[in-house]
Amino acid sequence: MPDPDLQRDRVYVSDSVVTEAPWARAVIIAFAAIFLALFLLLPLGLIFREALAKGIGAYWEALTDPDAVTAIQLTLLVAAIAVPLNLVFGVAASWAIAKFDFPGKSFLITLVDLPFSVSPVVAGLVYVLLFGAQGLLGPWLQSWNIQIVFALPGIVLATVFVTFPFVARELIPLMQEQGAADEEAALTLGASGLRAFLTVTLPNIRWALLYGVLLCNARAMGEFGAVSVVSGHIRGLTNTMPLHVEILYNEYNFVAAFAVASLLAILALVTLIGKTFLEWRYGEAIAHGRR
Amino acid sequence: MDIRVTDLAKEFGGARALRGVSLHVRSGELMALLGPSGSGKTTLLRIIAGLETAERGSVFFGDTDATRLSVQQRHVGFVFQHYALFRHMTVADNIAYGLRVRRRSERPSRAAISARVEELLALMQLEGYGGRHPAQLSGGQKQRVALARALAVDPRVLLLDEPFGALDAKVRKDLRAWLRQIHAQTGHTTVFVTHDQDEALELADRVAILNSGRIEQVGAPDEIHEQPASAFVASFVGDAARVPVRVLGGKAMFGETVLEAPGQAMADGAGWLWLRPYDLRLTGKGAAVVAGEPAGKLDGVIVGVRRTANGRRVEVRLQDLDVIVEADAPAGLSCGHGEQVSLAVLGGRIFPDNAK
Amino acid sequence: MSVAAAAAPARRPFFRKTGALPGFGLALGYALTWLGLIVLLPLAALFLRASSAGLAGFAATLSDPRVQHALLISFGVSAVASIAASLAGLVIAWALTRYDFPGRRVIDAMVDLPFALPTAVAGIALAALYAPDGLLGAPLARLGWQVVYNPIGIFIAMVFIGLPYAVRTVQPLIAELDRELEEAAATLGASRLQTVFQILAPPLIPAALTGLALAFARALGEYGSVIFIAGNLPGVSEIAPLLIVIKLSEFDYTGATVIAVIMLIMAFLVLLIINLIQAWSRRRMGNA
Repeated sequence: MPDPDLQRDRVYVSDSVVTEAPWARAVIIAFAAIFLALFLLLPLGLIFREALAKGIGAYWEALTDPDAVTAIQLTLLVAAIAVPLNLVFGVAASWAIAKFDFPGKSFLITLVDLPFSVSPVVAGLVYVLLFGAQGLLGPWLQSWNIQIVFALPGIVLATVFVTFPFVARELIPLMQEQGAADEEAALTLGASGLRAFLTVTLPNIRWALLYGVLLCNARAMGEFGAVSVVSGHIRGLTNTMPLHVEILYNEYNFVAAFAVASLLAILALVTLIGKTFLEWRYGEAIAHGRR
Repeated sequence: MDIRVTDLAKEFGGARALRGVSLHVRSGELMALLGPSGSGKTTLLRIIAGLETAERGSVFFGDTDATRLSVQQRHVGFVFQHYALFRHMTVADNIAYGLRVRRRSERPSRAAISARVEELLALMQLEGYGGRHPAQLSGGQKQRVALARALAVDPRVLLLDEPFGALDAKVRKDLRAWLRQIHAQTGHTTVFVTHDQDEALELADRVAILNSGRIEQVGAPDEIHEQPASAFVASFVGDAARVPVRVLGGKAMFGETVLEAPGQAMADGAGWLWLRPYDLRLTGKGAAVVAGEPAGKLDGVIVGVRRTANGRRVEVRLQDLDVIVEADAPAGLSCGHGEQVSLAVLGGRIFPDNAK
Repeated sequence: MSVAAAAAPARRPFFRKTGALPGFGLALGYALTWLGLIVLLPLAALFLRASSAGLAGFAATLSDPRVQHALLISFGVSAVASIAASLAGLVIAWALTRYDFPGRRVIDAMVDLPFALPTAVAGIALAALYAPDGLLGAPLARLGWQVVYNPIGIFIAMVFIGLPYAVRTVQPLIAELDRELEEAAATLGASRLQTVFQILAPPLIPAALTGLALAFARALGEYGSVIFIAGNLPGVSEIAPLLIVIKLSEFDYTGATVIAVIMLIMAFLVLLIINLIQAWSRRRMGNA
């Protein structure tokens, strides 16, 4: 149970006279509010307006279209594979980085962050160059009849690449701050290493883990550029939801495009709500809330 | 159960933390490891617990060679500096943790565990706190929970790392007396690390002084204070000032003054005389020599007077030297700033110049 | 997200090597293997491919005016857009941190929308919004401004996706600004503007630069939210990532690789710059 004291609002609202003049304050707030409304809220609202432009019937029809359904299924499947893979990686990497000292640690952290800085298109390209028909391992894979690019494995690999740092990034600063004393205490009390991990470490990091998984999942389901390059756009087969949105949009089927897009927008909103809730309720237990 | 460590050595990334430490903690004893930060005292404690492995040397609990035992097998009670309470568990669950993680065959029954928890809560004067979470406790309460958790498993020895380091002065004092009492009741062989000499001298049966990875002295608090074995101990424990002397024929010479009192045998040569306030008696300049007191006196000028709760502490700059010594002023003596005074040397310890 | 990386204070934890804690070899071994397989090996394949293309391959690709223009558009518009996002981000972060007003929490949460919203969804929404018959595009068109199918559209999309990075890197530092500093400045006779620019702004500069670099990196690599609004006219509004995709679909692997390597090196440079900024700021002010 978190200490109520630790959940103070982070905003510094002061009665101090040393602040901006009221008019300046109003201008700044107005700028922020109008800018964000025009830039963020308007596009978001537009998605739902366009999706429902021809009524709820057309909306529902677009979502139950067989190609749309397979796209939804594929997106869920890809996320269901990619997110756990990055979860395990994130926990392993942060365990090693946060609980132990070794040379080259900060370089390793930089490498973990690397995929953030790589264009999604480049992320897709590298897998095509590695596993594609003309790629390094292409001929070898073909001789074994293994299809990676333009198939599910390629989509999963590209998704894992672009979501690679999410969980690790949330855990490393938190676990570094928590140190190793809790685990050591469990060991002195007779717990095995695994037991200490399960009963002490995991509960200590659970909210940060959930936070990381939430963000990782949002990106995994929404990834477009990288997946676009490796998927081959085979309708009803290797089309994820974002790719399906693109196809429908380019076919001028706006209602259907925005209908599928609205599902992804809802995912984004759920992610934001979950994220905000975690920051508000468990701010002390996640690295993000402690800023 | 006694603890015997021999010739422990340990390095951290090229820095020597311990350089051949041997120590015997007697059964039932309360021992303090005292030293400045970086002296290796926490490392020594963690090696005893099995939280670190030494490069060399061995650790014995009684007749058992524990050197190769894992931390779980050593069965120690360890209290961490910042408590390391499991924040997602209640106080009762924290205390019960060490019993619950036991293999089924060795695990006490559920009822026995909760009885043990209640018993410890009572011992720690924490009745009614079992359902709380660590975040709802004060520092002193957390410390007591950490101790209860360590004691719950009936450890062979109890090890505490800076047990009062994170507490404020008042709570510190209360907990000290109370730890002493718990120790008397439970009788565990106990080792605690501290950098606070008051804490070590007040609480421990014996104190081990560590400096740069070596043990400088082990002894009862009186012994440490009154007969420091090295210049380091003399300077680290208590207030002491250092006066350069020459030793000639067993006598210490300060300038032309012969100081007879510090009668330790020392080879001729340069040395340092360490003086504590009680080694000096302050008199007015030219006052008559009191019968039975050595004739050799140090002259100086008062440069500062501090009123303390129990008297006046006077700072005297010695004549011809940039050395300031402290002494307690007797009642009735005028101690104005700049006044000339004399100091009779009643005691002190001499160490050769080559030592620190 | 790397916003956190930039904002997290560099605290050294208490811990030791050769401790009793198990699992180091397993955890590090697993992490390194996975990192190697997923990230390093594929990136190595890219560089291998680029080296086999040789200087001639680079020269051939880079002498194509279409490639030149795409790179120019990508770098140029990313730079302008990330600067714009950073300036807007500073004001927004200030408003969200310093003032309380109705709806502040909701707006604060909404800042991350571009981060959470799939890029393709953002892309079609922006395109529809700013299209000549769109909600914002129509009034703008009446004023004679067309923003889609040209670099202005790219600029809008890039500001959109760069915004969270710009806001989130400076926000924690604004929250940490010591009230007493500005009160001290006021007692010493400084005007409010002097206080803001001489006392409050300097500690924010490293974070603002970090946010700028992150927004730039993200904008440079961005694909989904840009291509719909850009219209992708070669030589006018075609960005480098799109050209990679086009080259790939034409089976011009060398061309795609060359553009990718240039973008990747740029990304590494940005990472390096961020690290340098943070090292510099730690040295100067003891925070990142």
